[in-house]
Amino acid sequence: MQRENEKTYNSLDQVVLDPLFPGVDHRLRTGSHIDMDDIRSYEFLLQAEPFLQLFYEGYDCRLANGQEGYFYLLSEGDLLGHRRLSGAEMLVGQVLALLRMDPAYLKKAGQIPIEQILSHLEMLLGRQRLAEVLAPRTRGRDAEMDNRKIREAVEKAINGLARLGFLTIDRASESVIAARSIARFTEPVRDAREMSAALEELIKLGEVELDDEEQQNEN
Amino acid sequence: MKRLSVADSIAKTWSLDFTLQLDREDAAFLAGIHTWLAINPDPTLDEEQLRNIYRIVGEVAHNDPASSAQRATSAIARLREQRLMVRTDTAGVIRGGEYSLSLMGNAIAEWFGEQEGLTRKSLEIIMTQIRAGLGQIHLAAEAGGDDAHWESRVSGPLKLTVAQLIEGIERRQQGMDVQQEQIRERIEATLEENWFEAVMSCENLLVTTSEALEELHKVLMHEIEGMTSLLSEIEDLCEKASRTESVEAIEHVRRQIERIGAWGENRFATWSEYYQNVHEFIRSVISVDPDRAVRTRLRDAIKAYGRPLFWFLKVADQGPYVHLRTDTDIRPSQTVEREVKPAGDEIEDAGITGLPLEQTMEEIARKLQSCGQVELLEILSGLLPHHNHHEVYILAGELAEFLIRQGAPLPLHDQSWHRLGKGIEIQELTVRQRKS
Repeated sequence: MQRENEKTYNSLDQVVLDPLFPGVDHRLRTGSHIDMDDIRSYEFLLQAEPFLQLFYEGYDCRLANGQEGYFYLLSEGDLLGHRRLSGAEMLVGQVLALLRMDPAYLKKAGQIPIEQILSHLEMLLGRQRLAEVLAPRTRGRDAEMDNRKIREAVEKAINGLARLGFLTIDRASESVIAARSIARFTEPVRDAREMSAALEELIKLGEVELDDEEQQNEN
Repeated sequence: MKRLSVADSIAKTWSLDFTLQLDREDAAFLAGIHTWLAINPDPTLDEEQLRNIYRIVGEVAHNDPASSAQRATSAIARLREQRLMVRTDTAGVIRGGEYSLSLMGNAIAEWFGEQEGLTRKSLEIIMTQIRAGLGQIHLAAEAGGDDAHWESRVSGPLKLTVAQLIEGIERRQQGMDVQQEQIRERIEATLEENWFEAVMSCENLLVTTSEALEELHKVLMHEIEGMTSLLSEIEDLCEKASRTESVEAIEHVRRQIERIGAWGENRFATWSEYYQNVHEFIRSVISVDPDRAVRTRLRDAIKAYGRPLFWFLKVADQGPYVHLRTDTDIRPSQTVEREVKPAGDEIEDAGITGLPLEQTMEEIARKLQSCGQVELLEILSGLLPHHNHHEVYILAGELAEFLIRQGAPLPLHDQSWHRLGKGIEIQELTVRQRKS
């Protein structure tokens, strides 16, 4: 049964002429993820998906639909351009994906304090490794300076992830709420395969890039 | 009665210089006294009885029995000093006194006890009593009479009977809040402990609580509507008879009713949101990872991130559109006439040439080499403590030019202006190392 206000499209013309198209198209092209919580945009994409797949193919792009209920655009050629997330964004994203699986945050409507992200990063990677990745230095270490740099790198990563629709930030409570799309960070470990095999497949799909040295400041 | 403002209330309490400190032993002692008073016919207890109660506290806390008497004396003194317990006799210091709990002591001890929740049955009973009370007040207001009549039949019952009955609902609502909090904690603990096996029992808990809240919400909305119109009728009668005190009492009751109505709305909405969150969690996390393997693998993957390989998610990244400023974005310009100076003069005038500037530039070049990119805002923020805003303004121009010479500027995604000390705002400039 068709839901109220649900539109159907018979051609790409109709999709492009929908007032929602310019905003959604712009967000997708700038790397944003659009999920079911943004119900109007998500419904639009759901209905227009067949036409938009063809449309974006012309740009060497693929409109991907994550199984948790979110859309994003993957650019596979040079026409539209693409980038990879920074090392800090990758770490913060993975930790958020992990914390989202913790029922302890249900009580606070999924709000995860930024302090918790920092403490989990430290707990999982260890203080020294965290400093090496998030606060790289050519000369000796200074604990106070490292702490400041780690915090700055995490906050910057959170802002970057928010711009891409992976989370929303609640400035008042200094916490974040992970969106459904945060599940993208779990892709390489979704099944019991070796992680390297999963990554190989994700590279073929244009989802992931590998590097043997850290390029965390790329973005 | 004139109501205190928030500021008045804060100032009044501040001036009392009152602090409350209740450790685990004192709290247990208070609860013990409260229960003793509830199960004994005597309204007070003497010092010996207090010491007997404290002896149980000492046993639970594994205190040294030798110091029990001393500790009991201190605990009794603390409860009295904090006005949680009051002496009810006037015998002075010659012989032991009679004690009872103060209003505050009772309230705290009741809070420690089992929270009385709100059920449909208890709500309907109290609401029936309130309606009956308001009906009688309505009749009395219609009949009218002298001052004594209005006080004893209208304003008095409104303040004492009706207001206290509504307070009873509010108290039970608070109790229900505690119960809901406990249910949330139980759901989260059960899910954490038993994961997939806990889904069914958690769903049952959610459904039971939702149904109870929905029932209460319906009863509240229905009853409040009837009561509000009855109160309005009583208010009209009081206003016609110019009974200010009765009108004020009605306003007080109306506020209470609005509060219990708002509670119903709020808790129903909050619980519905929680219900959805838990269901979403079950659907998108537990059901897709019934044996918690993904969680374990993800934790291991984070620990091993970058050893030996870093992996990165890719996202589309179209360059920004040309930014066409609208009229409103154009800042008013002002022509300032001044002598044209040769390039570099401003830097020299400001006295920031030479070694410090060169050092800064060398550091930027090194950082660009090692990190791959640098940001103007970060550089200037670092210089801010050592220069005044005029110097920072000049440095911003100089360093922006330097950065563009050194590397390739990235497209401007974020066009917002960032405050830099006093009087300067800049847009971010990120420069990436040029590929050789």
